Amino acid sequence: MNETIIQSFKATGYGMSGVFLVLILFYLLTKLMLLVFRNHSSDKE
Amino acid sequence: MQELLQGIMGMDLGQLIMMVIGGLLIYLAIAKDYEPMLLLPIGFGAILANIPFSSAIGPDGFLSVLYNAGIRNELFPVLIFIAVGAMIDFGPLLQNPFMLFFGAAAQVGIFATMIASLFMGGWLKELGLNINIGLKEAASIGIIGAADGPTSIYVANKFAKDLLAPISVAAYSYMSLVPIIQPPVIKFLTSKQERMIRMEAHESKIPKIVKILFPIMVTVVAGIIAPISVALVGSLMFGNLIRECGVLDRLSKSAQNELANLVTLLLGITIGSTMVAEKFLNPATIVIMVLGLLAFIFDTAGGVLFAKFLNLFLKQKVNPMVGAAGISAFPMSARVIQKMAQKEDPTNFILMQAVSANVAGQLGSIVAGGILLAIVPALLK
Repeated sequence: MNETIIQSFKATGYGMSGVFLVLILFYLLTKLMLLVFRNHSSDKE
Repeated sequence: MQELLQGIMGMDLGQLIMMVIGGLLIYLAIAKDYEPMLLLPIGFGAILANIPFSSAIGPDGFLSVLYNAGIRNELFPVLIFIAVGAMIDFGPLLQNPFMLFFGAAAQVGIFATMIASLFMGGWLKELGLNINIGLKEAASIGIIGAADGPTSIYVANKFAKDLLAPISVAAYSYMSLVPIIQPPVIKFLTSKQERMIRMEAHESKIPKIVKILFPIMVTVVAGIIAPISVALVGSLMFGNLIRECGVLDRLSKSAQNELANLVTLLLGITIGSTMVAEKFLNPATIVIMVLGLLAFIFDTAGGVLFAKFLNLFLKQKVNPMVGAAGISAFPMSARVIQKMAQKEDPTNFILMQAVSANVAGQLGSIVAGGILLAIVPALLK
């Protein structure tokens, strides 16, 4: 198979893994923030 | 006399076709209300750039000055991101952080289209067409699937400057066509029962501190993983921080209104000015338009199929249509999903979840763009 096509498959593998990894981190950190600040006042909103 | 007629004498067929295309974009913007804020300036920019001996382009032309000052150095997309960040309310997403995963899944269209571009480029070359699509060009075409104009411009400008005009036009045109593109794909992949699935809305107050910390957290995490994405993610999140901090209302409003309007205006007309006949009227443009459409179809399918996959394991099922809202076209995609849900069952409200997935898609697309910017050069080393 053409070298560029192989590179594109690699880019897809790394890319989708990267996107999921970053968004999983966002998810975990968001959950953590919500947990830590669950009793924090939101009156000023 | 000859000087007065030089415009007519200098006109070639390509320029005439481009002026008609410009007129068509203006028509779509005004008569059909398809992304008028962008398609109208793009269309008019195309007309300005294709008038023979136009003083608007060339070394001293104001459109060339704008191009060098705002597109070549990626300033306009970054400024647009500040404005967009100030407009985004991450509240619905913070109430349903789980929706972040749909924002990731729907980016599959970017990568699938990148691969499809290379295959198509190879076939067309075999057919004797002179189209050179390497990994950088394929990535730039794939990023149309981000369904996010500024990200498409940013990535295309880094990887394939010559393809910037057709990529921008494809990205904005298909964004405006989301209500036409998404429903058939969703219907094809889901059953009526699936489209009728109800979802519980989790409405809770999000502490202000979380809303403030969220943009900072996102910038730091994305920046550490892909430093090249800092300009994109950082500007979006800077705009959002201005919005959420509560002490910069004037700046927030300026970013949402004056900055957004001014930069959109200049961005559109400058992109239009890159649509000169000799660069735009070639087989590559048609290929990009076809692949751009594929990107939106793949995105939609990716989101729906991911939701269906999750449903194999989840007790409380997700309406798979919500997966399709994981693209960045906000809020159009969320509205399309809600409309489809109500068509099946007028009492079914999944707008909240669809909006959450849609906001997640905005994050997902920008992260995907940043990761692509990091990965492609690394693979080509």
